Amino acid sequence: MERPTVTESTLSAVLQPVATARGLPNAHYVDPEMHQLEREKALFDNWVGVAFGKDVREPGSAMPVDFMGQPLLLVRDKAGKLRVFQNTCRHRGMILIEEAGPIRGAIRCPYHSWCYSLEGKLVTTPHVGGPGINIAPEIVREELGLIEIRSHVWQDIVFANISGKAPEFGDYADTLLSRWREFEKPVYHGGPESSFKLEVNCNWKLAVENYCESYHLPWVHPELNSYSKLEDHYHIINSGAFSGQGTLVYNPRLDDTGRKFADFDGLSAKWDKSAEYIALFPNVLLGVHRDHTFAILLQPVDHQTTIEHVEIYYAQQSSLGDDVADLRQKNAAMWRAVFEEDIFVVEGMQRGRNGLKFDGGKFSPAMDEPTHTFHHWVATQLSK
Amino acid sequence: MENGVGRQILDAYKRCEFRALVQLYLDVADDHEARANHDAACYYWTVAYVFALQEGMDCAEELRQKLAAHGREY
Ligand code: FES
Ligand SMILES: [Fe+2]
Repeated sequence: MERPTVTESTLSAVLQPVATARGLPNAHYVDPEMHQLEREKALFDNWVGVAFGKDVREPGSAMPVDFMGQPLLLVRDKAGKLRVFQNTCRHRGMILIEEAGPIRGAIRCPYHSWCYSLEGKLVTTPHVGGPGINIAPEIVREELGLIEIRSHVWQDIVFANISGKAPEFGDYADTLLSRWREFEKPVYHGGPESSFKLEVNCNWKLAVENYCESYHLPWVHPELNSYSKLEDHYHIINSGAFSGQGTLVYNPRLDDTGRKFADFDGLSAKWDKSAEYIALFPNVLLGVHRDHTFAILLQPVDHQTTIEHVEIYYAQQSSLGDDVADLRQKNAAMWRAVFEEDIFVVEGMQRGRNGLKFDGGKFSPAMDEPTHTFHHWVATQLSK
Repeated sequence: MENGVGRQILDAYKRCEFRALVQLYLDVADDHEARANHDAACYYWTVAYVFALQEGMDCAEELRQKLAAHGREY
């Protein structure tokens, strides 16, 4: 079989305007080598969502995260700042932390017991100068702290820039941050039922592509569409960082007796009926509504397997009360059902891309602009 | 190391009782220091120090000072 490569001609077809563009070729979905290339250029060189702050809540909380083979260690330091380190000892490269849990004092490497502070400083190096001698002129502790990975927490999502090459998060996501400025408030995680994972047999990009378009709603989510019709949706396009869709008729009816979740404070009237669903490239899928938000982090396991980590947050502490526990349950079940309805299409598109003669597909200029925006972004990353 | 202490130390390891380990190693080290066995004392203080650091125990600082006084730690 011909080895698929990134060629200028295939990418230039993707980089055309939506009306004439082709989608990304099959190799971007079925070829493990292409997956590695995208790992570097589309994921590691950008801000990827790797975890949620709620899972590392207290000072001293630590959690190892494997993101596409990168061993990361999330630590809440003494001052409460969340830090992301490479989970690799500076001595012989041992993995430092295997399981999530509290660090009571220092991070001790299980191999030769070099110890690091929660801030990543190398605190001691036992017997490094011989038995009972913990210093040596060659071992300069200031130079041997844990490697810190650039990170940024927004809406409780822990973003990491693994290569260190991305612009500041605030600059990268600038347009989205301003668009959703009104949601820049504390959010309250809904609890165990508001947290779930879906493992899907598709390339991570298909999950993004399906998320940011509304074209499929009437066919794949008939229930959603019974109150949120296709014409009530609008596209959201930002070629540098995100795309998605909004609805003009958000009107949750979870309860017959009129109970509902409290809204965010100080929202403008636009949000009475609007809700927006945006994919922040590369791997974070977001939803905002006046009373709750959610985020889905896509964890690419390999070129054809993705884990979707879903977490639902509420606008007010009062929404965590026992009096609305059943509503939280219903809301979580509703979203889970919607996301599960999408599984057969993302998996079907994955299998469809084994068709050797599939040419990347043809976009509907009217309906597929958010999808093309993402393809264009990926092609742009790969051309850098 | 005296046999009884040795067994206690192994037991503490088995049960991951690090705070107990700190005390056990500290005692062994102090014993050596009392007999002017500085190298052995520093060796056991080091072990106690590492576990005290891991556990975030206040005595970690005292242990560091003991080691530093012998030129074994910063
Ligand atoms: S590998 Fe970590 S202390 Fe040796
Ligand atoms: Fe969908």
